[in-house]
Amino acid sequence: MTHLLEIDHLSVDLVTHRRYHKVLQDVSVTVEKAEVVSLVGESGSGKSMTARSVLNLLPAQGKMSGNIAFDGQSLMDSTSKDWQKFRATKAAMIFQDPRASINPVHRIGDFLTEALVHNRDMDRHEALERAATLLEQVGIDDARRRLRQYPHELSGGMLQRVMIASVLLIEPQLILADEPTTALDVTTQADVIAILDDLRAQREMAMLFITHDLELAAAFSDRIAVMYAGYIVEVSTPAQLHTRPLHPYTAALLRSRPMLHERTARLPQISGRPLSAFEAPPGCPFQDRCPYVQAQCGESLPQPQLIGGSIVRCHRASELELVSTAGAEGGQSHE
Amino acid sequence: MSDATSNTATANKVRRVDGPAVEVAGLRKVFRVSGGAGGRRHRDFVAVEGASFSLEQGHSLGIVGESGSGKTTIARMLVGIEKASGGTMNVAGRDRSAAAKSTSERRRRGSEMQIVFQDPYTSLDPRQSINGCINEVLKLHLTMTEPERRQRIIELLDQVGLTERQGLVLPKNLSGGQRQRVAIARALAAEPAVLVLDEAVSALDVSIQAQIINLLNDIRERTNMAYIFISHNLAVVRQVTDQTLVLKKGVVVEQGDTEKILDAPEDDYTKLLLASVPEPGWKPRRVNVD
Ligand SMILES: Nc1ncnc2c1ncn2[C@@H]1O[C@H](COP(=O)(O)OP(=O)(O)OP(=O)(O)O)[C@@H](O)[C@H]1O
Ligand SMILES: Nc1ncnc2c1ncn2[C@@H]1O[C@H](COP(=O)(O)OP(=O)(O)OP(=O)(O)O)[C@@H](O)[C@H]1O
Ligand SMILES: [Mg+2]
Ligand SMILES: [Mg+2]
Repeated sequence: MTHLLEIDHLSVDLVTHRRYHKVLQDVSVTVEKAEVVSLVGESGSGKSMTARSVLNLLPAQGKMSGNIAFDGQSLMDSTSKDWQKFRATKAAMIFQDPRASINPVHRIGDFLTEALVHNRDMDRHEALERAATLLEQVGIDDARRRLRQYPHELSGGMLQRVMIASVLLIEPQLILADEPTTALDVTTQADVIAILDDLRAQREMAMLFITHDLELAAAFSDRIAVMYAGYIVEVSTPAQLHTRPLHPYTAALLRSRPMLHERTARLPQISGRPLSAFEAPPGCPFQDRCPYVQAQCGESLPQPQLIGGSIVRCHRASELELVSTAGAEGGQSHE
Repeated sequence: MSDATSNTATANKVRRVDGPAVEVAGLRKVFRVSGGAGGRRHRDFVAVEGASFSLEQGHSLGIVGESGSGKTTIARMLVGIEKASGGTMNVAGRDRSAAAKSTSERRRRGSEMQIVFQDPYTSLDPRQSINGCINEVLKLHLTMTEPERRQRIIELLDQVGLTERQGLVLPKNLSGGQRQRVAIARALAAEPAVLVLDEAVSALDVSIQAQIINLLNDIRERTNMAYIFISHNLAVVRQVTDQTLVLKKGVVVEQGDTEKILDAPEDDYTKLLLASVPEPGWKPRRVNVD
């Protein structure tokens, strides 16, 4: 079967101080039509770079290997013109830091209509009308006035919604959404997610949805992929992931969640330091921080294995019984 | 990372000023914006309408509310980037309703109050290494020898989960959450009496977020630093604040003890906010605030 998006054994190397460093390792994930796949995981683990790879928007000199296919067609041999067309029509990204990715000297209206006017030959006035309608839908009042303003005159959450609107205007088949609601209050977030959910239902729009909100990921997505140090360490359904996480990192992450209804004297945190892919020791990348580490973990990299419908990269996944809530201290190894 | 409670050599300065750390009364901000209706070129837009609050030393105030309700504007007025249109502001016992007039006044204000901006990338100098950026703050606000500063930079980076190696790179070589942590480390470096955090943990995964929350709570206990903590994440607000202020369209709709506001909200908007938090069983649906 052909997937809408298929990322296959993707590795990415980026340059810092004139040297290449690996930031993604053997990443494989698929997204189907009308499917939402959430990407969660540690800060610096490679979520943004995974999404950027799909649009060929890696930082300068970034190298990728492996394969990325859209609708059954590999994108790896695309020319820069092909990529441009792909980004203008098929897939679009909501960037993590809107203030850094929206040109500060252009008015909001120009930013929103640029793609439609240039790539779709739409009349400017019509494009502005559509932009205003979309801004209202994402909860921005006085949309016509906003179109004439500059980015610095908008709040962080408003600018994030401008970025969301810019992507919705393109009506892509796939949205790569990089923490699209972090600057939104929870009621506005609910509105925006509802709009995305409608598009999924009505137009079979698919989404790779990067978030740190594990509850939001659970409510909104069909599958969740967990990243750690450049690897995908677990892929699961929301229900599975929350009740029976298979990777020790996933379980530890779930236990670190702050509770809305209760103040915790000291939140559980994962001991040790986050790692980038290139710093990971041979063997399992999580071994130095894992409470269940054994000799084999330092000997070989765990390969993805299928357990009860989930995919997990852990040597001990089938014998561990992990818990996802704090209080149920640490989880016990299955006897 | 060492444990967040590590016995750090510095950052133990105990603050002693008389009275509250921050006192704000009738704070107001009106922006002159372009594009009024009916052909008028400009009109006034009220972003903050009469906010008043008082923050004791060693306490922590949460500011929550609608996107665009004026939270960042309040923060920017407090640190002096934005001029208030009305009202009074007192920080560490000193009036800052008027702009700082001299370099030394600006520096003193910087050591009294630091801010972690909502958009970390745009607030970091793209040409300066992470070490350089923290070093600059240490030089400006503290008396330390160079080896002491070097040691302190490593310690600060470690506390926010970054490595010495990451101290050598430029902001563009870091991920969004890594930059956000640099901004936190930089603000902590100045050991201010008041720290304003504008969505400062929103781009962090929950495990690193937990580490930062624990760190903030430790520092507050140890040094009496006060926080103004702006966030959309009500669970995080529960963990780091004791007072909370709820804003909507520039107006404070509710303020008081964090526990009371989160457990028994009185205002309809606060209730709606609480009902919109994704929890198990949450389904995406339009809430329609108005
Ligand atoms: N322009 C760049 N040059 C070199 N390295 C980079 C660059 N951008 C990111 N990196 C590194 O690549 C790794 C992956 O970064 P990425 O932005 O994908 O992380 P992330 O999972 O999105 O994290 P966050 O949750 O903090 O946004 C990080 O360790 C980061 O330091
Ligand atoms: N320089 C400016 N010129 C004109 N209007 C401005 C300016 N800065 C902010 N505003 C307006 O003031 C209002 C409050 O903005 P502010 O950034 O304080 O909101 P916020 O509560 O921080 O929102 P968010 O949660 O989205 O960050 C918004 O309507 C915004 O458009
Ligand atoms: Mg990212
Ligand atoms: Mg703001």
